[in-house]
Amino acid sequence: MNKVIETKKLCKTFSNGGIQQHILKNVDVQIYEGDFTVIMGASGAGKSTLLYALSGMDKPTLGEIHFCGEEISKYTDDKLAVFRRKNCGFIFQQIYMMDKMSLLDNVLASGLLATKNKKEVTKRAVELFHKVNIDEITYRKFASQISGGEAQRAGIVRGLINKPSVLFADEPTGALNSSNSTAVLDVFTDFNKEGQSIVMVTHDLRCALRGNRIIYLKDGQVAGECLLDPYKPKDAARRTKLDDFLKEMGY
Amino acid sequence: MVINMNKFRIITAAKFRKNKGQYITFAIILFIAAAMLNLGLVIQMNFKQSFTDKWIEYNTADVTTIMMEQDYSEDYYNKIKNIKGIDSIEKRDCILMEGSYRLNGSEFSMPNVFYNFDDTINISKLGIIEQKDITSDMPAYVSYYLKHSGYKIGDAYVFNSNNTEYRFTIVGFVEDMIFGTQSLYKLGIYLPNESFKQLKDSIDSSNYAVSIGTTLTDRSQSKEVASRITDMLTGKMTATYSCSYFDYCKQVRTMTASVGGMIFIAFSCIIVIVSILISQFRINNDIEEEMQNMGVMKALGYKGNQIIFSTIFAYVVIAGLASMIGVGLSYVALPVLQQGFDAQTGFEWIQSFDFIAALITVVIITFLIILASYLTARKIRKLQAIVALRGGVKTHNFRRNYFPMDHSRGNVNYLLAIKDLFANGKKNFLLLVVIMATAFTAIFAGTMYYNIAIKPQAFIEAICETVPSVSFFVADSEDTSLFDEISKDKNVKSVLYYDSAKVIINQEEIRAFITDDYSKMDYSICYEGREPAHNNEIAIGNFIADSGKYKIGDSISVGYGSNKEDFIITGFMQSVNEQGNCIELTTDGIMRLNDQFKKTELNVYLNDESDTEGYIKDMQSKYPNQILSFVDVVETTEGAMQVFVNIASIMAIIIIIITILLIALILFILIKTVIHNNKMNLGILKAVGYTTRQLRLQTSWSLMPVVGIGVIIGAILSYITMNNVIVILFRVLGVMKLGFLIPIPMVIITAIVMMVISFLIAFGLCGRIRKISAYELISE
Repeated sequence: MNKVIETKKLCKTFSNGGIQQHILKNVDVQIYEGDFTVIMGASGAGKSTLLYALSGMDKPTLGEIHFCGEEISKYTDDKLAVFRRKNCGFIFQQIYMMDKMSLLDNVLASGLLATKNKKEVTKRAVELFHKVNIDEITYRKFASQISGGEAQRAGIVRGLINKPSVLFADEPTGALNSSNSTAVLDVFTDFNKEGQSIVMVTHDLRCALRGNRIIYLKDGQVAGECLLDPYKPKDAARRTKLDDFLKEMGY
Repeated sequence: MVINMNKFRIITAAKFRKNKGQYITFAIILFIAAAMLNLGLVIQMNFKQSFTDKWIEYNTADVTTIMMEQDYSEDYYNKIKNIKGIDSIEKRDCILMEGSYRLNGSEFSMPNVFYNFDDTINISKLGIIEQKDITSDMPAYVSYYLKHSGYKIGDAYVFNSNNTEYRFTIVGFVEDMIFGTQSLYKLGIYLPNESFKQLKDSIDSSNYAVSIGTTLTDRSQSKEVASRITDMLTGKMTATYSCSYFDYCKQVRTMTASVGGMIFIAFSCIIVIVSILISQFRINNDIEEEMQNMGVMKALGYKGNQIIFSTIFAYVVIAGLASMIGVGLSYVALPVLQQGFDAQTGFEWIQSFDFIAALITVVIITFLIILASYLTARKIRKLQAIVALRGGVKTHNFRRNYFPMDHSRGNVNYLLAIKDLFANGKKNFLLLVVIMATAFTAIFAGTMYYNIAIKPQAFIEAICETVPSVSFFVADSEDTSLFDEISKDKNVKSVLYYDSAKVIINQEEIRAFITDDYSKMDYSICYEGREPAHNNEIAIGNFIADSGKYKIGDSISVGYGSNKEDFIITGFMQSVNEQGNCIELTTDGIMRLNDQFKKTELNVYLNDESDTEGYIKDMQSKYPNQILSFVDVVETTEGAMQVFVNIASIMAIIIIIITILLIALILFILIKTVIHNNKMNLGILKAVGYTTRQLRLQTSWSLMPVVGIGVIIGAILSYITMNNVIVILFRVLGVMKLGFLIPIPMVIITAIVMMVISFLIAFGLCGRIRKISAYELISE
């Protein structure tokens, strides 16, 4: 499989009141095309920091990030912005829909950045909304008028509107109830089956089960990796393999 | 309401730390408002009193009568002395001469009244501002007013009268509360004993005059006493005479300052309104931001009024402190204004701290901000704790999705800017009001500057009765050779006799302007009705019209000597020089009163004024006996205009600076608030790939429609109402009608410049978007 992202000795340090905190320490990871990669770890392990460094949302302190063959770690903020709009899709734990726009406009505000063809973008947005079971009445509403699950599914549409190389998701079910979480994870699984590369950060075992590659971070370093077969509901062997891996990692 | 101040001090300090830039900006706007209001109040409350104080300090005569020596007799002195209300009386010899002198680089025509500086006097003493021992044949003390017109100690003061030059050396500047400026059509010059005698010996005795100064037991009766003296002298004088009184002197000498004070107060009102809108905008924003904290406070047991107090406390403190600092700052600017007013009013205005004006400024500004803040914040009382904890009623506030992207035209950046525009009604309203007000004031400044410095015709028409190219004073108007030759000249647009004479209306001596045919004048100075056309018609000034409640069609009695005739009022005329206390008659009309009336002043209007000086020389050489003297009006007007050009330039610069500052400050507050409130949205947009530049442009463009609408409304309003607004402001000067040109290109350029400046300021201020990182959305 093709490598989409590769990091070399990736370090990220934060300064807090003069005290240096090393969040990521010489991380070498690879993200492959078509994979559903899940990044796990305890709180403070550096999961989200790694996710945002991989996606070009944040710059590393040291090391290199190669994304689709481009070394993005030295890019300026604006160059990174242009890079992100073409290559990355994002899904946030807090959803972060712009509150003064309808769901459709939220999606189009992202989609129209990459292409000027409004008809084409709108058509794709509507298709994606239908795929995630959001009807027209709903996608013309504001985020504050719908449920968290609907909002997060709309977030997925926004993340996918530009056909990103990789869809990054940061605890996408963290703010959702059980039924909404399942619906959202099903959407992820469906898109991954269609070939969409996904990188997801999670604490949640149910989320992790959806992935086929699990990277476990401990104290800012990759503690281990686990490869799983593609997701199938109620696959006991797969579940046991993941449980064993996580047990080994001290989860 | 029990208030624990410590608790609120902590809350306020925390709020201030969080929003210090916006609070400081709010404070700066209030500084400006307070400084301008205080300056306006200090001027309005003190300047006139300062004049009265000086009047009292120098024991200035409440009524000063000047008559030529040939008309004077002791009998008049005794009669004046016996008028009821006269406290003391003093007679002095003086010299009254018609002539001209240099002022601001031009020859200015006006009589000078020469007094003996060394007279021992008790009434109308002089205040010496500056003097120096200079050895000179003809030393002279001149008015402090001339110091501001470019004269220095040691300079020559040259007075030209009847083709004779009288040259004096200035040895000092003095304050004279009566003849210290040109307002009374006489400029006082004070000669030490020797030079006074020398001048007296060198001139014709027809210039000898007597000045009778009287102080009154009740100064407010000065006009009545002056009327009685005028009544007494009317018809008995063979030469010029005058009667000046306290009320009139005070009015004309303090007028410029009154207008200045009014302009300051008017501008401060605009800025205070802006400040009120800012405080309301910020408080509404604070309530939205602090909704959950308010819920917590309510849940903990704080009462509605306590939370209101904590919300508005910062604004109240800032209003109080900023207005106090603004008052202090106004005293830094005061010396500059004092200099400006001294130049116009001819006396030194020394102003110490005015506690009452300061108190009024601080109380008015603080009270208005408290009131506006309270009215905005009082909705907090109705807020229920549980609703506030849930973030208010926002979740149930279903808004309209303006400009849905799938159906609207335009690129995504434009659409996002438009959406932002429609989502921020309160911000837009504030911006609209400020931009409208600043556009109006900027066009006001531009109009004033254009009509004073660039094309001053309308301004000159507003302040002058007529502006010919040259005025010839002729020896005999019955000899028509001069008139005929001038009439035939192709370079002459028109020529007519235009004289003035003193007549009596309602026991008061006033100036009458006289000409054969007013239709030949360059413009009409009637703001209502028309000029007189027949010998029984009259146009009266607004002061006479207002004080006598006259209407057009009424008849009015006009006296000259012992004659009295009734005239029909055909129009109301404006006169800045006479403050509306004047009339217009035809030559036939004045002849009804004075059949000995002689026309003397021939006004010539040239087509090409580029060589007026050459034209005058040519005519003088051809008619040396017929032309006694002349005034090059083109040159004189240019010189006189220089003072106004300077004032208009300073005013335009001040207004433009304040306009730009206000726009910058308001945009700072709005943009900081918009960016703060939209931090998350901006972060999302950055995350999905918008560059900082795109977001800066979007935010800046979102303000531009409001700026554009504000500028257009402000420009249209100013275009429609400007002349009326200026008339209201300058009505006290006697301006009743105004035809100021408001050039459309100037309005358009002002509007475009304001929009460009607003955009550049907004784009610059949006630079803080750079600091917003998509990464801030992460919550580990």
